Amino acid sequence: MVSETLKAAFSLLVFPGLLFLSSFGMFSEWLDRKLYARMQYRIGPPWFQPFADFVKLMGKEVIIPEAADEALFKILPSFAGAAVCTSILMIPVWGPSSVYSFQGDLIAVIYLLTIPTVTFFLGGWSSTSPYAAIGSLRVLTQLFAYEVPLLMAVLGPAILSGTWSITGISAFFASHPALLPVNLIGLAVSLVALQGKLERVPFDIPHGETEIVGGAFTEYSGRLLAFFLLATDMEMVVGAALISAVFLGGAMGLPGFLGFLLFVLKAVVIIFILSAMRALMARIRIEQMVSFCWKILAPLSLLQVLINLIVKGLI
Amino acid sequence: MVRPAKMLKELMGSLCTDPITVRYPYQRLKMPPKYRGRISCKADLCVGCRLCMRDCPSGAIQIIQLPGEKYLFSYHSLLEGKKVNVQIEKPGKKKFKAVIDLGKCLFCAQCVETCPRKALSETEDYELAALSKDSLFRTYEGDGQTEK
Amino acid sequence: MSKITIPLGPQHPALKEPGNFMLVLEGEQIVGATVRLGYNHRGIEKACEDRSFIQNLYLIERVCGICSHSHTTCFCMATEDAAKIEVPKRAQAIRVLVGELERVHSHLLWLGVAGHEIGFDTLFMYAWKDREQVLDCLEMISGNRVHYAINTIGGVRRDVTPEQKAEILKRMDILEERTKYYIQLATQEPTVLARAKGVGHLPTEEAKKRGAVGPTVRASNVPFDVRKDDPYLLYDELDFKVITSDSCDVFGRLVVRVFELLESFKLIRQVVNDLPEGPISVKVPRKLPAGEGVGHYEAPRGEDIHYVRTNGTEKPERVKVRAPTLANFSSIAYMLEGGYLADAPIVIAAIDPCFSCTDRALSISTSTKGEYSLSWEDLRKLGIEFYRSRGIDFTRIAK
Repeated sequence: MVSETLKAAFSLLVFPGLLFLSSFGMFSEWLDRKLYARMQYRIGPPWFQPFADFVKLMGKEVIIPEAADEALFKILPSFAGAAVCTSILMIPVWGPSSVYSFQGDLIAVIYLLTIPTVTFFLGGWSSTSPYAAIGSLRVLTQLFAYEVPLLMAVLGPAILSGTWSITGISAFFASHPALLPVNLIGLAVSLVALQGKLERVPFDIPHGETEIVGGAFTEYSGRLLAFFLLATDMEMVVGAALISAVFLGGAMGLPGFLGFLLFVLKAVVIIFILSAMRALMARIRIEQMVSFCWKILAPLSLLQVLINLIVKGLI
Repeated sequence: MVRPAKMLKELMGSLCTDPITVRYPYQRLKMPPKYRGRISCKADLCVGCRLCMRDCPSGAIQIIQLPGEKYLFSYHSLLEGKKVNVQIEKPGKKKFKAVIDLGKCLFCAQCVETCPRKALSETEDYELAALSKDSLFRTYEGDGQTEK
Repeated sequence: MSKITIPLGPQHPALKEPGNFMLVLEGEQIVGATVRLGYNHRGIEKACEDRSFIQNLYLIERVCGICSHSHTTCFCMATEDAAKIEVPKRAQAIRVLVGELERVHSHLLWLGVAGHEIGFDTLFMYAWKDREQVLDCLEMISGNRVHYAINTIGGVRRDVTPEQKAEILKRMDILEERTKYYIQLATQEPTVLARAKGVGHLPTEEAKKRGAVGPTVRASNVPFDVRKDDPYLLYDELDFKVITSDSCDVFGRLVVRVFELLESFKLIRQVVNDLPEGPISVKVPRKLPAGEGVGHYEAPRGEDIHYVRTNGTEKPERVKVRAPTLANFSSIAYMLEGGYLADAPIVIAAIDPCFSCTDRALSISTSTKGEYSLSWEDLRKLGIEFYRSRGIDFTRIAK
């Protein structure tokens, strides 16, 4: 019983939980900023920059608006971080198996990943500043836009492999690597939807810097902001891990450390693609995004589900 | 014709080339000749007309006359009944020094054009950041330069 | 839905300079906009009356950073008009050269800023990378990247050598290729088109009624350009087109500015290849005879007007500056209403605002007490009392 609790605490706090996620999150933020800068003929930040930003923000004063609900304001960043840390426990990171896996953990992970978005909304709403109110409304509108294509896109591989657990899906693709190209459309759709979930250009409408200052984060400062930004970094890692496990076959059956290396490699490739998307396009308006997601992404993901049903029937 | 991801080729190309930003101060850029840097003065040539002070838009330059050598002699005054000391300036060329306040200077070089004796000249010195306001006053005496 | 009022400015990431736009929003749509100015007023016109003409050259140049040469040239033209001075041809050609280089600089800067406002930071970095080419040209000719200080009353202060001419031509070739790439990018990239087409609509009649100038009005299909309508310097001898577009929106303004870049390259090549010989300035007395003069200039943002009145001393009696952004300002309120909040930054950026140019004192007094003037101490006291009556006490902040 004690060893079970210790094992759980280790997984949640050290690997693959809080400590691993935050350091890998900072590494991926550095990688993203460095790639973004090099694509623009600039030099880019040194490797310790995200850590330095985190330390600097921790040392700043926390200013809470008078009209805001103080308790809610303060506790929201921890909720975001906690939800993200819990979701990594169900994605295979070290080798082909995850810490906890059960049928339906695919849906659980996607659900857990919407919790940070809801905390952004609540954080912006409880700030009672006009910029934050508009930002939080945009967060929710954007949630309605990308959530459905994302869910339907990951549904495709689940149908093909006949199981609802992420470990099962990646094990299926590890044993049938020839079936990987069937999900290409789904991969593209989920990458675009992930860009929307992480609120990066072209979908960084909720915290559009030149329009509404900071969006939902306008009134946040100091260590609360540090944890919110850390939660977004961790979300990027979890999103990349989810896509690599569901669409790219995860660890491909390799055990232990080799599987971990493969996971890191795939995560880096996904981050490269996300950075290229960020450098390539301008920010679009919220109603353009909603119409784009519902008119183009959702039908494409439906098409993917259809293809998978046909292939499943054929094999 | 609409082409999404139009910039992709250029982006991938720029990943392989060097960045165009330079790591100052390890790499310094070379300024072209006649760059508007610090103004320098040969105070020997200055005659004290102070036309540069009139034309400076911000009042950055000051021409100060240096005290010259004096003759000293004394005589017994019958009127006051005691010894009186007199100082008379030696006739000859007056000496001046120029003090330029870099905090006010625009580096427009209008003083360089206005000076009838061509005592002022432009340099290309641009690394003029200072840690204290006093070091922004540059004094030019004789042919060289001292910092105050 | 209830209406909320959101202040855009004076401090806002979208604005490069302080200005205030109070937007009344219903959801994401703007239903009302009030524009307010005055945050950058520095009292330049009054300061001009205390300084001689030579000192004023440098003061007027610092009205704006990007259109600095426009202001100096316009001031020199107004003074030369007042004092009946004839400027030699070579000086006029060098003024045209630096003016067109400045136009290239300003339009490339605008392209970057517009990219930044719509979230397209890559375009921002690329446009400013190319802007370095033109800044190197200007540094070579005049010794400084902005605030060139190349004008003096009666001519220019520096000459252009043949090596500089060859270097300029080389860089213009590089820039022309890059500009053609930007034209392709602007017309083919779907996100840019989505943000720029149909945004900030200003029909022709409204543009004429509100007195818009520069690329803003040329994008509403009105061919109004001072270089063609009232030629100054050498523009009546040079060959170029006035670019207009009939889309009346932000996309039109983008197209007009990018094609104007190509026209500027043509103009620069003509001037450099055909630079007339002669002196670069005439000697001008310090005390100018009494008279009045007006200078017109097509700055990168529109029509710039300076008025100078001399009275026989070495200081001007009155200097009035009417910058182009002031003329474009009333169009902003029209363009913002009915649009979305997300469009507000790009609409404001599309007229290329330069609030530093804009703030001049205009007192329309409707009170019957008559005019009165305040000393500096009285003005400070008035300011403190005004804010105290609104509940803001500065003594609390001073601790």
